[in-house]
Amino acid sequence: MARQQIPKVPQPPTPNPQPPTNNPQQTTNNKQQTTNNKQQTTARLSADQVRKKRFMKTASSTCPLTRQQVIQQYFLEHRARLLDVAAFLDRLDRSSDSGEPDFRELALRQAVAVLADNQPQRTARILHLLSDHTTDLPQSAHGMKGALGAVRLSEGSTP
Amino acid sequence: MKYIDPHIHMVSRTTDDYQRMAQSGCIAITEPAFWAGFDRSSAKGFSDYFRQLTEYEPRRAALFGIQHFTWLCINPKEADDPAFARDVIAIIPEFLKCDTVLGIGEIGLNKNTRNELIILEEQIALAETHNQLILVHTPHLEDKLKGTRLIMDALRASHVPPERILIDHVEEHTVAEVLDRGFWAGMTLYPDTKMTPQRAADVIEMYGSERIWMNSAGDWGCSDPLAVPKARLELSRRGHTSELVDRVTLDNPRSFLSQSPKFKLKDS
Repeated sequence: MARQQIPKVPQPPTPNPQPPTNNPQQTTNNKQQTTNNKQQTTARLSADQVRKKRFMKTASSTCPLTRQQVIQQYFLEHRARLLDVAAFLDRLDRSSDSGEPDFRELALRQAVAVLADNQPQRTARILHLLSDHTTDLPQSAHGMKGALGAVRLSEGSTP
Repeated sequence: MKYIDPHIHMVSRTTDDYQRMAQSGCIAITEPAFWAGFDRSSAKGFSDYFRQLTEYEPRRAALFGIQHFTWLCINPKEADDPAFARDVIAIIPEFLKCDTVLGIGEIGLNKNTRNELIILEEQIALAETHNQLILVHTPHLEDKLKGTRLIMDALRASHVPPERILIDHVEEHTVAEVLDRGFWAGMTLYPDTKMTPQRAADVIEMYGSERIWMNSAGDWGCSDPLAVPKARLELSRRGHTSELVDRVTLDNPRSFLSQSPKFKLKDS
């Protein structure tokens, strides 16, 4: 089965590695070089990268609430949802057999790791993680009307 | 306050849902043709369903002052048998003449099969031939990303302008690509399994309020016919202006739907 790469999600901007300089000419040259580099970089960017850069630019400070207000408004319900996930994993541990983990359980555990990695776009990255990235098309959907919510990570496709 | 629910399957709802929606400010709905939860055994079954959508539901909605419009098609879940699907497609043109039919929908893909894709292309051609708007269903869950891209490629291969197409059920991993390719985007709000009113508000904050709407898709599954007013409340309680709230729940649906000359709101 052909499998595409899961799109990489943009990382936070890295600090400029160039040390500051007091030489005006050097500064001008550096600015010109930076401008040239930016133009070359933009020319090389794919549409997907441009979209992600736009997201990174526009996603900050888009919620009108302060951090404290977000906590006040949403903490309790999301605390409860987190406990639901914990209880679900506990329930799996307590299940009446000791069967091998289902592919959906494995996918969920990977998604939980995304929650804790402190990187942006967690929702989109989890959705990508749970998506079918194969490129082949079956002829018919006979016997597989519904969706399952995750893919076998080793194959990248639905069973 | 007034709002439009541009995607809700009222044939699956009881009459008191119309009442609660009217009490919450709903002035108009549009109802795409969809899967009944089981595969119909003949094209005649679709003919009856299309009569229900074009004759019976507008009357039931009108009892509560709600205008009812509809979209016709064979839905992707029943489109995997091309011969059967073509029998259904053949009866659609006679219903396109009805006063409340806005276009072809919800067409799209379900399991991203070649059969589904063939019928999608034929229904896009049907819309093109009859100069109809298109409402697109994108697959759910793990099939959405791949299916959305396949659908957009099929649409791009037609001559239907993207501004006359709404791609529904977008989520955080598909919304940007849909908007960037010039289509309208719809977010479908569910109580449990998919996009919630809170996430829809997040998407609007991150991707803007242009060419985007929200709907409840209220159907025979676990769904909430009041999801749109709940999303309005979610935006308001975050401090967004009433202008923005109205834009995504009233003005935007009206703008897109008004591309059909049949879509005329009584109070405007």
